[in-house]
Amino acid sequence: MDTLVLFTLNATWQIAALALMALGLALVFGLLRIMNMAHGEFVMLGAYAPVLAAQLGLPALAAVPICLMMVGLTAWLVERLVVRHLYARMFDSLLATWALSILMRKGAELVFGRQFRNVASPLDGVTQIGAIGYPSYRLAVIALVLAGGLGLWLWYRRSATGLRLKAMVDNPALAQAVGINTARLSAMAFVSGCLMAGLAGMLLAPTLSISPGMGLDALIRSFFALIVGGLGSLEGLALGASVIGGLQSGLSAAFTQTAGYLGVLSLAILFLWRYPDGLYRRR
Amino acid sequence: MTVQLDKISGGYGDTLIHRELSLSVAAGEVVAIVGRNGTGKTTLARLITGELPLAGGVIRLGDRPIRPLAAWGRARAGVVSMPQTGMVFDTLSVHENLLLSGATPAQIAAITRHFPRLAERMTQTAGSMSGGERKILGFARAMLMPGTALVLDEPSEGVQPENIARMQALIDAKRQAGTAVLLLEQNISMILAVADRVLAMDVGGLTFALEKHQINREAVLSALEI
Ligand SMILES: Nc1ncnc2c1ncn2[C@@H]1O[C@H](COP(=O)(O)OP(=O)(O)O)[C@@H](O)[C@H]1O
Ligand SMILES: [Mg+2]
Repeated sequence: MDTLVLFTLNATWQIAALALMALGLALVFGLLRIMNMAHGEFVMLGAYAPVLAAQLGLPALAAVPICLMMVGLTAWLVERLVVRHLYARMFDSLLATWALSILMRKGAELVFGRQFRNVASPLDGVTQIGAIGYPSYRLAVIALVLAGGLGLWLWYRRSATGLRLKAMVDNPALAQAVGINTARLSAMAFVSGCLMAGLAGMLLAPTLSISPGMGLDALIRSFFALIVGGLGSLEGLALGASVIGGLQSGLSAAFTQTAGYLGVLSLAILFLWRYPDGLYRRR
Repeated sequence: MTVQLDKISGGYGDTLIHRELSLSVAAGEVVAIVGRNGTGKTTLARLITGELPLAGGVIRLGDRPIRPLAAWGRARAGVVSMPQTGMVFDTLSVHENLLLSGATPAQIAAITRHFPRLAERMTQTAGSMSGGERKILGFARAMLMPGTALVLDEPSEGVQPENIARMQALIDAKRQAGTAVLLLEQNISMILAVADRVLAMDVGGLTFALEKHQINREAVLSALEI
């Protein structure tokens, strides 16, 4: 019984963490058809926010404005200087953001150094669930991902901005004809996607080992989730994160971490090969 | 408001479809442009709305030059358009398509009284409707948008006669309200019903004009047969 509860909690944590990590990549691809190869580097940048806050002797919450400013400013600059010119040019934008990822990694090495870092969890202690004590911080992140995901989904379906985004994705020329400033909306979407990546890095920082090179792992795991779920929708993202996160924690519990990683890799390759549309097909 | 095209040129890349084309549509006037397929009606519409960049010339809405504005800016400045293809958001519902015009619920209810088909299909996605129904939806959306100029690219294509008659009534209402209407059409009866002036277009530009008293079936047909 207790093992089952613990396994469920672990799997839920894996799924929530993965969905959080992949959200920004899914947003940018779904809204702009840009595969942001620098997604992981924005996660990395966000993860350094609590490191900086701790170094400066600021309270843990100070990581939030630091993250928003650091990531937001970088994303805004990147949109202005690079991405803006490459909308609707999928391969070019992929190459450009790939080059950008290398630049950001090297930049982080210069600014933060190459060593691995850890940050303390801002929410210490465990919460008792039956006979099991589970880290409170993980439970809080799970709750935040559930509430935030649901909120985002409702907002996208119900709000005026959500409607404008859907119109732009559907038919950019007609979107302009109804007066939508698609250039500004695209910029907003790109910056928001990067901010999501940064916030994911900030929230997951206490559970990760932080280094300039950590982005690659974040990108690959996010990419797996999107491939399996189906590129470009929140429903697909939830589904993909569940399958990948669930499989990984299942295999890791039954066998080893390596088995978990190999299982996930095989599944992603299978999907790329046989079902490139993923599980959640858009109409 | 008056729309004035002064020697505009443009096309696709290096291929200019129009060279130094001039015309003007007064406030409260419906000008129809007729011409065979491929003569450049749609291209002209795109140059006016800003979907295609101008290679030269000036476009004025009233006194204001609108060439510097991007397509979205021209729409907000009052140049409302209904494109010939892709005139609806296929993945959005009929209601969402109409909402994007910026209209109030009361205005949306009013327009759907003219087109009961839309009222029945409010929650359906636009892409699931027939070609004629999509034309009606695109037309209704354009009618709902506030604007002082209206560019309609073959709105009657594939639409049944009773709905074409309703479209004509709504175009007439826009004229009464002082909108400058540019109608690109091949449907002779619609042109006869609403046009104050007819311009014939052939490859290379406008060939002749028919004033109100000269507009009849034979004259319009001759524009389509050059
Ligand atoms: N996207 C495009 N790229 C290149 N040429 C085009 C494009 N669309 C139309 N044309 C060409 O422009 C000319 C005018 O076409 P169009 O404006 O669609 O005419 P119409 O609307 O009167 O049928 C035609 O010769 C057509 O082949
Ligand atoms: Mg045409």
